[in-house]
Amino acid sequence: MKDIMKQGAETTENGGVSRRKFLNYAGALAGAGLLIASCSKDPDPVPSTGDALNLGSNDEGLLNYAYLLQQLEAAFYTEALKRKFVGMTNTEIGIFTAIRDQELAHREILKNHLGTAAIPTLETDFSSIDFNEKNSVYAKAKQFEEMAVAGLNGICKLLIAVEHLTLLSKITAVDARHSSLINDFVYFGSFSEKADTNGMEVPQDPQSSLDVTRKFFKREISGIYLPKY
Amino acid sequence: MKFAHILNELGNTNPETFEKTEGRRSILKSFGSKLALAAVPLAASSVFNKAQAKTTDILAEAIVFALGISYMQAAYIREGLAATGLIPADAQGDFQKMLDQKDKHIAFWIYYLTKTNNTVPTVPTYDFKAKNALPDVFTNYATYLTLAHALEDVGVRMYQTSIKNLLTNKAFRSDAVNIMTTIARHAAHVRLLRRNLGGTDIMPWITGTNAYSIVGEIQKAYQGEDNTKQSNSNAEGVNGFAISFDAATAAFDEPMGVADANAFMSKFIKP
Repeated sequence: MKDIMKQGAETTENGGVSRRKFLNYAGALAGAGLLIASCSKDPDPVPSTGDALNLGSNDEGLLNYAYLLQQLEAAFYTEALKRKFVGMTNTEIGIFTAIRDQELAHREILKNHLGTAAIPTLETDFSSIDFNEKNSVYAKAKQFEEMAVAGLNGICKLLIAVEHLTLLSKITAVDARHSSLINDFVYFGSFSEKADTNGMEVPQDPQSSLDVTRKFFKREISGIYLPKY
Repeated sequence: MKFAHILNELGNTNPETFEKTEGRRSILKSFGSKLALAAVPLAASSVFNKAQAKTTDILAEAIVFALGISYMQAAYIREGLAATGLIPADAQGDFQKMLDQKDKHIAFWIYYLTKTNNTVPTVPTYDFKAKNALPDVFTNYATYLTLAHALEDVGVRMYQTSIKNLLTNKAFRSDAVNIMTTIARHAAHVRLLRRNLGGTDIMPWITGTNAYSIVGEIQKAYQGEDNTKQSNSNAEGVNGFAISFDAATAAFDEPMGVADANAFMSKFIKP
């Protein structure tokens, strides 16, 4: 067990993620977003998000985005445990199970917290992942955990209500623990490799974060009404 | 650790990077009201910060509270690295990395406290043996790691309290969140180091109030971590999912308030 925990998974990091990429229309619609921001619910928002799922606005939209991230993580570990890559050890099964259960708890607690405002459960698209291949699974686990922490930290910056902020800080702290562990699996000692020059996590604004997250869902998702940095 | 050392560390950072987000200084100043202090009772602890008792700035107090544990974490790692034969050669780099990041957290907050004419708290003299409750803390690596993860876990928890109290300032609040998740990464890594040493099934996250130590001084770090109620639900078995007590408590780190934080930290500070 000791050796396994130290062993690197020898995955290569996915370099294709651009954290600075913004939606082209984010800026153009910033005014419209502000206009809508005063409504807690927008049953018929203008401009329409069409067939795309609308995450909503204000804290509600931000919480829905956090909920989406947790849906993604929970679905990923559930699938990874169902498929089990070649050579998955008992230790790895134990770790993945523990993380899966924590992500499920995050997902369900956020769902209940949102109540009737919660978006539905969305079908994931994991076609880019080879679940039989250890390196592929670890590379995605690393990407998803880093994405979740950066995304949740960005959300924490924008939330208005203290009870929402408190709940999400509890969750992002634990996702950071997951990320640390997965990073250490991939390359031991890389637990906080992405900190900035002040030793801080680099947060991601919801717009550019969603730009990556949406690739892993089948349905189109719109975050045009989400608060912006 | 002496205060002068932190000032030296300041020289290693680039203050220009502190200015990347607008709005910290002006807002910090404008919140110097006694009203705010009364509304949110986060009084700076007399334990680690006697000079700060007169502070009336709620934001500055939240920062001072966070600094208290950052000071302690940095001092502990510095002392550990200085103890000959304690930290194995292959782990020294990891501790050095963590220390570098903690020194940057400290330098960051000191920079803003200074810039806003707030008193920078002095660094206390620590007693990590806690009056000999932990006599081998700097000679036995397992003991060292156990207090190390307690300090990291308490850091995550205390920063959560500061985050709440920094609500009104987006920039500082965001800084505290981003430091907190870095500390959570440190906590997870230290716990992994402890696990790899063998003899314990400790995981990178906090399970219940388990301190992996029979020493009361360390157990105080985990007071309240057995909470399973989150928002309007019980996380244990939430919505019919098979979420155990362990998973339900591990999934959420709990904020640590002033009283619990002082009860923990005071054991490791010389009066």
